[in-house]
Amino acid sequence: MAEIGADVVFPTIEFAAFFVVVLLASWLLMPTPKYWKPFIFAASLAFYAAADWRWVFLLLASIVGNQVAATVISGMRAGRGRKAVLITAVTANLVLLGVFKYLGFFVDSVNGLVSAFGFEGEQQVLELALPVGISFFTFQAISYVADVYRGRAPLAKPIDTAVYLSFFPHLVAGPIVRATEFIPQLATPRSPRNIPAAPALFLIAGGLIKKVVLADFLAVNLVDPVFGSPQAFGAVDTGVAILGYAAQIYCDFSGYTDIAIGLAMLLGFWFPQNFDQPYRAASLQEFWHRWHMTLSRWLRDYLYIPLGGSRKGPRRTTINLMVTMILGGLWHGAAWTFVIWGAMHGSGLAFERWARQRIQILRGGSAIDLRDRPAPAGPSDHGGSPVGSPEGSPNHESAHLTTTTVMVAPKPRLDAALQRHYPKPVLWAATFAFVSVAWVFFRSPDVGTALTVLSRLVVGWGTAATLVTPAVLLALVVAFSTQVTPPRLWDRIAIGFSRLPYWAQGIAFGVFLIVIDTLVGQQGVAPFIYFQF
Amino acid sequence: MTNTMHDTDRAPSDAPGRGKRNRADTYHPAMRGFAGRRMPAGHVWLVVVIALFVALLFNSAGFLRDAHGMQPGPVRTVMVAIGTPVDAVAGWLRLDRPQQALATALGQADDREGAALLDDAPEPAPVATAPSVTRPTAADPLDVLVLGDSLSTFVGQQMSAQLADSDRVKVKTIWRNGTGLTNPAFFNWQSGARSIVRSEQPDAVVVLIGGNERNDMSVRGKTLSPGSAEWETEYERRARVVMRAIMAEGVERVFWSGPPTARDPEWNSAYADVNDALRRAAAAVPGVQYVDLYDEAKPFAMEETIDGERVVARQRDGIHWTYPGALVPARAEVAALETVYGVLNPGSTSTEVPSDTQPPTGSESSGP
Repeated sequence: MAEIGADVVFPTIEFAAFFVVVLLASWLLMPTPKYWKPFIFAASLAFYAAADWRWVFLLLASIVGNQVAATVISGMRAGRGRKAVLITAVTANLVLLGVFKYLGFFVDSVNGLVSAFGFEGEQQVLELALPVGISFFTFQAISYVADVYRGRAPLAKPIDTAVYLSFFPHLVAGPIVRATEFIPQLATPRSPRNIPAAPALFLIAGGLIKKVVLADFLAVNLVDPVFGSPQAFGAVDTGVAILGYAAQIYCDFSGYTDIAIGLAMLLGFWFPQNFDQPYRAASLQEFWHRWHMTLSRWLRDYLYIPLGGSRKGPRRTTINLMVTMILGGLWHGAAWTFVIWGAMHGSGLAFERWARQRIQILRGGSAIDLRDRPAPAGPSDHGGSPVGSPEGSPNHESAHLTTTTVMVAPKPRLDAALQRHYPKPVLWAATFAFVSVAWVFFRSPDVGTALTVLSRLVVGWGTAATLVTPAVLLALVVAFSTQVTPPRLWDRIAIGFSRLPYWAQGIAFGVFLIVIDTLVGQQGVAPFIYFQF
Repeated sequence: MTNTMHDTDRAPSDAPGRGKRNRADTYHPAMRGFAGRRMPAGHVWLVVVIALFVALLFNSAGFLRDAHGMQPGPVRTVMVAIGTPVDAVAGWLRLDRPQQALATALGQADDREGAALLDDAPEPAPVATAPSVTRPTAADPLDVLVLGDSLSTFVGQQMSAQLADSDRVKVKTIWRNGTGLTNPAFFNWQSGARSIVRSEQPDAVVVLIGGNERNDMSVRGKTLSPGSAEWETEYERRARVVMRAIMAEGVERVFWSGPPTARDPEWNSAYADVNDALRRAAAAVPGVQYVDLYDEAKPFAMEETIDGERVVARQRDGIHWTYPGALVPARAEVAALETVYGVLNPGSTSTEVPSDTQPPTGSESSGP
């Protein structure tokens, strides 16, 4: 009765044994790509098969189908036929995702609509097993085909595409790595001489602490009880549980990606950053520059900008923002709670945009220069960014670069207009409160539960707090302290650690693993939240 | 190594169109400009191997416990085969002492003594009659503890939700994922339940265990396989041992359920055996009541009509209830409690057990 996806969880004995073998074989075979590439592809398929061997065929079908589409596109001249192939490939990917992820939701919604109009009868509920990681590898596949179409990425060799889409560190829950970031690393073997092992081990250790110590503890002792039966808890427990979920989902997801990035580093590969202290954000726009960065840039480049971005006037910009964020919400799961979560962020981003423009007008037109630096010269086919900087900022610039498009633009400074109008602490508090309330819909099993949770904040006074223990408060403090810890501090510790001899590093990491296993005890490690997406 | 090797000191710089922008901006900051010492791949592998070896040697009991918790198969067999002799040697050399001291300091009970407890445990002395029960009141509410494997989580939460408005009862749920009576080396429910009950001091305990019970059981060197009569008899004995261990802690009543029907025929057959054994075990222990959640007459269905609404009642594994689906077993447990303790939530009509064959019960006064 294994949990879904439990066999592909990183912090398990099975994975440790798998990784020891793969790490050794990978570096032994690395000098000979014709052996290394099939090996790492096979190892990744074996990793995926541990969850369910039948899903391997789905992954293989995705690889073959997208490589065929990319080959056809690269062999055609610009024109309608080429675009038709792209549309067919993207549609096929979305159909694949839709069948497994959204068909049940669609049928359920139609059933509800039929009932609302008074038609009764036997209604069917459709529920298909959701292959682990399908949302991630499908988005990567779409980006690959689209980049080949746009000329931003060259056609890759079939084996390179296979390794890119299946590479086990990012296969199950990201980060969403682009072909232009990963495939060039396959062009020649990775150097076995200078591996930055210390930062890789620190990423893995930090990820383990965030996941198995903080996220799982907060889930069991605070969040799950409140969201499981919200009527049973008062306003204090509910409020702290909402904060607790904000901490839990950050620690859970960023913990996973930290481990994934660290494992890839040990294998000699580099991944993009996925989280950058997101709860420091003082605007929603900044939040999306710091939260699930590889998804937000994907939404920007493959959805928002193709929709027109901000090129077609304020009304259309608002619509594009809403569409992008609602679809971003649906990407997480087929439920109205995710639609509401996405719509909240879409409307919040639109409001920020409106507020910024309003302040500009009040202050005398275009007197305020919002740009972090001058916009590049020349014609622009940009669309702005739904979740990034305003036009003229580095993010805006990245939208019209060609093959050198930067995947994660530098962080925007706090929106200048808003910051001049309101103190930064006020903007930060408003942003964090908004994000936390939105998380209530993200976490709740249904809309009714979300509304009950929020209502307890108002009507739940007078009920004694039972879940807010010193241990819970300590876990929250530690979790949120990750948002203000200077990254340089970890760099310095990692540098010091790297100066130890390799055997001392091994012993130290072994002791760390013992401590982690002891902390987990007999409770076991819960599956990562993002496995279900 | 050849000159064509990439130098991982730098971010990959061989992407097409190089030159317009610093591509290192793309990658994780930990990969950029690390000023510390780097190491060759061979040393990286040794670091990982040494770390795992240290963890195995000084935490061999934990390793063995985790190995026993794996799904049956060749990987588990290999891991248990590695862990068993290492654990014996480490125990003899007392290498496990630091970890045990740490576990004690962190409040994690070490269940080393319980590893083989259920295998040969003599049954605690039977209680002649069930203890008397106290009718719950607002001044002296009934403390109910829901215990079990992962099946118990949503059931416990739904019980809490149903009884949230009542001042006569408090419900708390504690679960241990992946556990059962057939794998005491992973988690021993005899000692585990006893220590939890001793700590929580409930009046009544609802137990929901059995979702993982398709393991072989070893009894005095003989291996018993699921599906055999001996396996069922041994399972019944182990259930009695745990039931009596809980009753011995001063609990008034225990309400014990097994798993529901499963989509997979092999799991479903195993669950039928588990429920048969539990029914007999409960009948032999005064104070223990079997609550049947395995409806033999009703074939497995992913969806169900609950309170007039068609819902997905089971998770994708074809075993676990979903949160909405757990309402039905939660109501069955509450109904069983009420047969002993009287009405627990006077304002609610929610303890009727709806099913596809019953008409909708209409509105409820509690429950999400």
